[in-house]
Amino acid sequence: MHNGEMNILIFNCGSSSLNFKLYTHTPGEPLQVIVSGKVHRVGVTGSEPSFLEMHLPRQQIYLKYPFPDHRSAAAIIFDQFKVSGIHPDLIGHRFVHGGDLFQRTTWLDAASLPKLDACLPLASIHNPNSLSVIRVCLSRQPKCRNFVTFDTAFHADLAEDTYTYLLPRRVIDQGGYRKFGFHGLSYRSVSGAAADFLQKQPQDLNLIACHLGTGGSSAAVIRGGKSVDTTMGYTPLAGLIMSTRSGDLDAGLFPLWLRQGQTPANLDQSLNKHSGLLGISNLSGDLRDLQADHTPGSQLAIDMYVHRLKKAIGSLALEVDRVDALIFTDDIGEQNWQVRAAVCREMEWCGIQLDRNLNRAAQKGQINRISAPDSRVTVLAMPTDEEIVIAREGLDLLAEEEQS
Amino acid sequence: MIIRSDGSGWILSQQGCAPLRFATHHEVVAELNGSPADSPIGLIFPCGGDLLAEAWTPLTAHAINRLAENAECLPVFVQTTLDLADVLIKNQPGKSLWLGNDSWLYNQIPEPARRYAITQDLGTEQFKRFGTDGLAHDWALRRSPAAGAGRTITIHLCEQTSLTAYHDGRSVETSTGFSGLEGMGGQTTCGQLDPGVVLKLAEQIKDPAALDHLLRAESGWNGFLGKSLSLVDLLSLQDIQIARCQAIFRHQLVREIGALAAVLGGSDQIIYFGQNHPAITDWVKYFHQNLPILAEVESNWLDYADWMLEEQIYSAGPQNSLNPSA
Repeated sequence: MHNGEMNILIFNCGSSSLNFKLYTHTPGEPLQVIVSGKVHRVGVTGSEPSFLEMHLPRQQIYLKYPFPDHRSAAAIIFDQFKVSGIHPDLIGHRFVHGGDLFQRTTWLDAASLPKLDACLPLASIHNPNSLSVIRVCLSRQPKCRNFVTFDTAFHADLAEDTYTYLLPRRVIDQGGYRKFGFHGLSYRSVSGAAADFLQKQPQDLNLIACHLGTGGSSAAVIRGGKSVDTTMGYTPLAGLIMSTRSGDLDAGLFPLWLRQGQTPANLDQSLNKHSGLLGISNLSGDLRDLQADHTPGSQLAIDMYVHRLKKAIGSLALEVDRVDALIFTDDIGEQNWQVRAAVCREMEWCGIQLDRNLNRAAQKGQINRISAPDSRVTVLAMPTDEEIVIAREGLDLLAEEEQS
Repeated sequence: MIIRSDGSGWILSQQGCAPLRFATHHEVVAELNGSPADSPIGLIFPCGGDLLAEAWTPLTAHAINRLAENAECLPVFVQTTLDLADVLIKNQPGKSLWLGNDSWLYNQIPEPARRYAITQDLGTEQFKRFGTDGLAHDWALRRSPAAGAGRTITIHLCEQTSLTAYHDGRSVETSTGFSGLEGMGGQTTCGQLDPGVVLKLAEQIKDPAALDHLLRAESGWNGFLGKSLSLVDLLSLQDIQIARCQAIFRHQLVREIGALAAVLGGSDQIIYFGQNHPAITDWVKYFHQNLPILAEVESNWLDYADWMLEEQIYSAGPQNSLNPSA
């Protein structure tokens, strides 16, 4: 750290990916990305191997490697940093589910670490991944301070009629069951960027944002910068059909499965790791694999994915008095024009009309307006930047500390 | 005369009479013993799925055996209906007995809407979104002046409210799923729950029947409030706690209408029937004002037991009105 300058490393664990960015922070200046990268297909089996891409100032690294888990991915990233002489001063982490224990960003310390451990069961796919990366950081960079941000925090203001499950009160109280919602960092990122792009104040905009990742996907309706409703629930298993997650199911299926000899642990594995696109197609959880396959099973999986997403957008659209913009983001949302075209077909009833050519021509890494000129709702395909949201949260923590 | 389960007992409806509720099979049989011998009896089977091809099937030992053989693929709670069916066959000889398939209307919905995104091991073929409450929705659609044309949503307002979407008279989507717990929460039913929550509950409640009972008979607005209210009570009474459930009901109704409108590409008419209430009319007007999905709203009071008897059982003809088991 020199003259207040610092390197802030951000780790962002997805269910099957590990994004990372290293920012240089100079007081009074915008954050600058000096290293970025992603480990793709962590723990995923399919037609493509897992690999690391890392973009350094004068070097591009592409490394095919069988990354079985996020711990190994983080370790290889630190190996590459060591070779390149990169030293972070502060490390920020995305933690998907903070439950009732974390309503805001926090320092990692002796008090918060056990609480993070207690949150592991709340998101059995994501939270253990994040904690494993945190432990790698504590081991490899023991002098660095770590802080943790939470996806659930963005949805903390959901109304009671939205977050309540109609279970007996005693059951709700015992289990703390309520809708929490996820992908909050992404929603904060895209809602802010969309407001800038549309030259509006965030508080004047009603948005529906679809975060469609290669692992997890959700949609949310955002009014005035605050979450009104979202498709995920107490866990990230609810809502849309995802890569290997089932999304919504009829609760009446569970007693039958138990009666057939399934255990809750088996079901947890099946519904989180082997269902969704993978379960339907019996081929792959990667939508790109299915689009390239052209078999009835793959087509059914794609059709179900689109059907569920359309229903979600329709539901969310009626929860606000108008929709100003529909946002597609993350890997599938930003890059898969076929999915956007299918989802927006016959959605004129709620003001959504795509421009076919603009949709197909949308470029990765920038905000693309893809709606027709007379569409009442502006449709955007755009990148999300959860990492800069996390980095800013860390700077806010430091500023608070200095003030106190 | 129509008999249907309300989750914890039996509702018996007949022409010109207020519905009667009975807690046990014995009470149902005692009531039927006093009914005219030529009066047909229809027992509604809530989730017949693919096992019953027609809306109405003669209630025979053969039909019941076929369902019983596939019981592991049917919702846990339908066992009580199978038990009652067995009792009726044995105790009501000579009477015209019928089995109504409440899933029948949804046999035609497209496959992407009919499937769950689960593994083959968990039963992609057996466990589908068969839908429930289809007989009532079918009645409502046929009663509409514009039945069979355009994009229609029917809303059955009752203790377990459900919705159906039709394109040119053909059902294309339902708010209900495999067992009737999907979709809107009801008087005692949980409605749409995060599967992750159900997994947590399953870890604590090992017994499948107990889990099913919790989700189906102890949840809903009654479970949340800790008191027993009909839908009309829920929407009429003024109380802070009840207002919370009114808001939840409204929220869920809005979401379900939006989901079905998205499937249809909009809606030309919404037909709501059952326990109508001014609050619901206001909500629908609100949607209409803000998003142009409604072209027509028709309100009906449902007495579908009458209709089913007159239009379906009687029209089936004398050759079908005899109970082959007699």
